[in-house]
Amino acid sequence: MKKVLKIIVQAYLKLLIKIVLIRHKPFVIAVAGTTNKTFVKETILDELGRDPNVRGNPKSFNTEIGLPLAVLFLPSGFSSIFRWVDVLLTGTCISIFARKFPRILVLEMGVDRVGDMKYLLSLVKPRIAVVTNIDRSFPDLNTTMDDIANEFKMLAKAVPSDGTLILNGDDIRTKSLAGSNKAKTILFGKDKSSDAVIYNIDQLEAGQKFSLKYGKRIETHETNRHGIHNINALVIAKIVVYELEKSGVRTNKS
Amino acid sequence: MEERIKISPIKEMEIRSSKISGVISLAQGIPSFDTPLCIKDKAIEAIKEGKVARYSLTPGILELREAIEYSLAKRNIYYDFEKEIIVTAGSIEAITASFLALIEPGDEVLIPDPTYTSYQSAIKTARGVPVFVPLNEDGGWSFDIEEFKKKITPKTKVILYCNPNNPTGTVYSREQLMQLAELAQVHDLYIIADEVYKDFIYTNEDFFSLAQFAALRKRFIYIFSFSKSYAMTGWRVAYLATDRILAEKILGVHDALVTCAPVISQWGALAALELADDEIKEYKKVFNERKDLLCKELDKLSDWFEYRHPSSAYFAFPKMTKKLIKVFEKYEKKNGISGDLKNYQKSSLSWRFAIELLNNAKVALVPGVAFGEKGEEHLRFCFGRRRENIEKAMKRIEKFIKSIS
Repeated sequence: MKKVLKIIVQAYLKLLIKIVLIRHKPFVIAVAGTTNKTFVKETILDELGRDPNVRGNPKSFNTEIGLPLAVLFLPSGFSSIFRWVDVLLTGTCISIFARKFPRILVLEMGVDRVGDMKYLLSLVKPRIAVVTNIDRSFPDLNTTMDDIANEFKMLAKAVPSDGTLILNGDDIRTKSLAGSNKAKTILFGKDKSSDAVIYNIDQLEAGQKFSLKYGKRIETHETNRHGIHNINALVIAKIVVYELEKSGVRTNKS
Repeated sequence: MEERIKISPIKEMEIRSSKISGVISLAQGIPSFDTPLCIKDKAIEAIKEGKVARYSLTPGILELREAIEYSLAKRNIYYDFEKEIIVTAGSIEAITASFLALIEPGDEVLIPDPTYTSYQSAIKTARGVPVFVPLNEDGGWSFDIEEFKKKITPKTKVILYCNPNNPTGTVYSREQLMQLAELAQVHDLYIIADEVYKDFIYTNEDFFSLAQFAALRKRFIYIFSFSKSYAMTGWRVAYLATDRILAEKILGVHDALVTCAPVISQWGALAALELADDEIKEYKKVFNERKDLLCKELDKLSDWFEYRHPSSAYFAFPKMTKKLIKVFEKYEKKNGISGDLKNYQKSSLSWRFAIELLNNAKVALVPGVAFGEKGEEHLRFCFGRRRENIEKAMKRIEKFIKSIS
């Protein structure tokens, strides 16, 4: 019963987001990787000033059902048929009738097993894709790390030639995705060969301070959070904002 | 010969009550609810997908630790999930592993009196010495900072407290916690804070955690368990968060003790953080109603018990009135002490009363002395149990007291 419900819900949600994306054509930023997706998404939203024209996944809705819910900004029906009926009816109204829709979507894309990314890419076409890292997560017994890396490669390949691919230059598997297509690729990390170089990291009692060299820009930033992943999140968000401004999707004032 | 570690009095009461038919237990702090469906579903999904058969990384699965960092950050508590968060097999494993990593045999650990019984065993497991610091009962069981100062010796290494406190239900104030932090800094002590009941605070007061005080992070260990908030006591899953240098030391002990927390429980805990906010709200509402019910019932017995309205957790900690003590002692003189009691239990009024109540009224409570000397003459009532059980238990207690008076 649950399986049937899942198939129906998944197919219907796919239809709904096809409609809504054709109608509104939002600019999609995909955030993928083993970890750090939520922090990156939240930091991008912060850097974009929590603009009402920009929307991210609520919670960590990032799977085959979660992602469409995130696009439509709907809650989950969990295991309740009645709640799902309500969710799908609301979703139908949004996709067909809603006039207002965000111009930019920042979407986490979660990959657990082979085939996940292919399905997610059948739902949305990202113009900017971020891969945070490809680490030892918890693949099932039949899925290897290489299988998971191939899923992210699929995302890298899907970025159009006028799009941007942002990769963690300190993570060998992630770095190896560079050159997957003709899109502009930006590597970030402590590695000096990266395009956006992080250096002078200073651990503070209340967070971290670091310097960033990106093109001609040299900046010093502070975060109240700990861990390199939080520095990476801030750097990715800065790069995303620069790229959006450069491409005219977002102006300084918007 | 060193004193052997005994089973916790709370568990002893549960074992004793399991041998008597028809007992209603308000002893152990177990929520009456089943684990939320969204958590169970996620765990089942993890089993079906083959994700639980193998060890996880020793500090825990990445997804869960990341979700923990995210949930802490919402409270302005910042730890790095990769290096500063360890998922443990319940909070008692987190506490025990911390002691094993931090103290040497003979080192002293200050704990409030009264507080959770198992802290003593955890300290003794690491060959440490628990040193009780009396709480100020008249001040609503608040800290008495002067008492803490008096108890500090060159052997003192750690202060451990539970906030909100079990069994008193006290929420320590920001001001008092900051005074404790100052003591720790002056005397070079570690602080371990167990915040297992933080989600069940029934007043509007601001809940402050010393984990929010960044200047303390190198000497502070934050502990939270999924057991109570998400009705997951049987899953044995909790976490600790601390500065990376301490975390590295504790991780080695955690590895030696359990390798990793149960993986299935880790997936359940992830679902708890991502999906079970509504359930916590519901539990809190129900516990608040049960608290009011228990207090109403205790009010009916005001000749026999005096108590403070609990502002958090799910325990009331009433004190036996002089009248009840007099009546009970008279009853004991006439009838003798019933049941099989060890010497230290025979010398404690709250133990004798709790056992008599269990044997005669078939109600299990925890004797207050189990939580420290200051708890003597008190009894702990858990209102996490079902409403009908609270009502029945209170009727039985009333009947028993009437029968002996």
